[in-house]
Amino acid sequence: MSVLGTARLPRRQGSLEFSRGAAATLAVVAVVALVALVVQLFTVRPDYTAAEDLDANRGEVVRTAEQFTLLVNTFDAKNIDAMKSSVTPLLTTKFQDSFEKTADELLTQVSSLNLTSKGEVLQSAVASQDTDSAQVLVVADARAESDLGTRARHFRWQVDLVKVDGQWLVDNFSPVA
Amino acid sequence: MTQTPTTSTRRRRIAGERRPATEQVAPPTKKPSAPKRPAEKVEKVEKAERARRAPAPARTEPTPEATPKRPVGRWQLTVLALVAAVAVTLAAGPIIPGVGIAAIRQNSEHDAVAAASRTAPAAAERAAAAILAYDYETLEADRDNAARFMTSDYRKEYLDTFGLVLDNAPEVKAVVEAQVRASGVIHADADRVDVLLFVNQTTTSTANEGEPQTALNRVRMTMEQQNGTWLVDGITSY
Repeated sequence: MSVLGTARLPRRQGSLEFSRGAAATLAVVAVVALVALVVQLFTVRPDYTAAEDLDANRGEVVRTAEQFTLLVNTFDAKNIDAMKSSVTPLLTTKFQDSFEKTADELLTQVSSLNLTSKGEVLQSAVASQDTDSAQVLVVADARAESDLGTRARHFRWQVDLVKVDGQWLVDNFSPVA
Repeated sequence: MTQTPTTSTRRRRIAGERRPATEQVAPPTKKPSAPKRPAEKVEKVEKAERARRAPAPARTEPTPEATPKRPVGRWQLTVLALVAAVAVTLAAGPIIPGVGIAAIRQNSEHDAVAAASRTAPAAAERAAAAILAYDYETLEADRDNAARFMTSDYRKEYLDTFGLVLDNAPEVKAVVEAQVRASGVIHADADRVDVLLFVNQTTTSTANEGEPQTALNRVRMTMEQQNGTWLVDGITSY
């Protein structure tokens, strides 16, 4: 055996050990990472998605309640129908009949006074919320002008909403006495 | 015919030398054999010498020490490295929505905010019932009781304001009761929540001839969590 042949053997042995060790390490890392990925798909991701949906719903719920409050308190007694047609798309089918009846009674009371009202939402807060129902508290003021003068009105409303076919709709509202 | 003694042509084995598998040890024969010619004898000796020098044939079952280890090729290592890198990136990074370190952290924050949203309004209601009520006969006790629900910063502001009550309430014998009718969350962080309260404050005093008068108040309370307790850090009325 030549001297050259004898010197080549240890380096090859070291290179062999390194490549096999590196391959084993990389394989372990890949397996651990893939297991972690699968575990997260079943544990972390559902909670993340649910939280994102809840936040998105919260924003929509508050916007719908505030828009309803503003439209109901902004009207001209000479054209109550305009107010009703702007509000109706925000209502559930069940609540539409009750609301129209209330609006018609209001018209009967104020039609002779040339009443106009301009509403303003000051604050809102979510009292409760789940995947398909919510309650929102709304603080609103309105400036009512009529033949009897100008009057500031202050409201504390609770607006009940439900989710119908992916859309949040007002199902009821009531002053909090 | 004469019988000539036979001699074995097998050489002596060296210590530690394995017997070849194919080697067959021929028992010494006692039968007389025909005398060999000298050329055949030499040929046999040479054959035996060559057999002695040839390496032992391999066994059919190789030993573990004899199995050659094959190194991992460069391209195989590269592929493994790429697979590992992709797996780690997918598991830890934000590539897949809802997966990774950021998603885990966001879930934790969301849980903390959800817990704050559940507990802060109840604490605000208890604080409102204490802070927004007083009796002219127990003003200092009412003041001290209310101050317990406040942060140290807001307490200073409250005590300054309460000085007016101390001055005026005994004169009209004012008694104020507070009743919370509804509460909701305006905005929430893990340790700070803005709560909206609908509070009915009913006042009885000589100024209104003893007749209770109820104000439908709309109050915003800023709650701050300190050492696990929710305290009032501000009050605003609408």
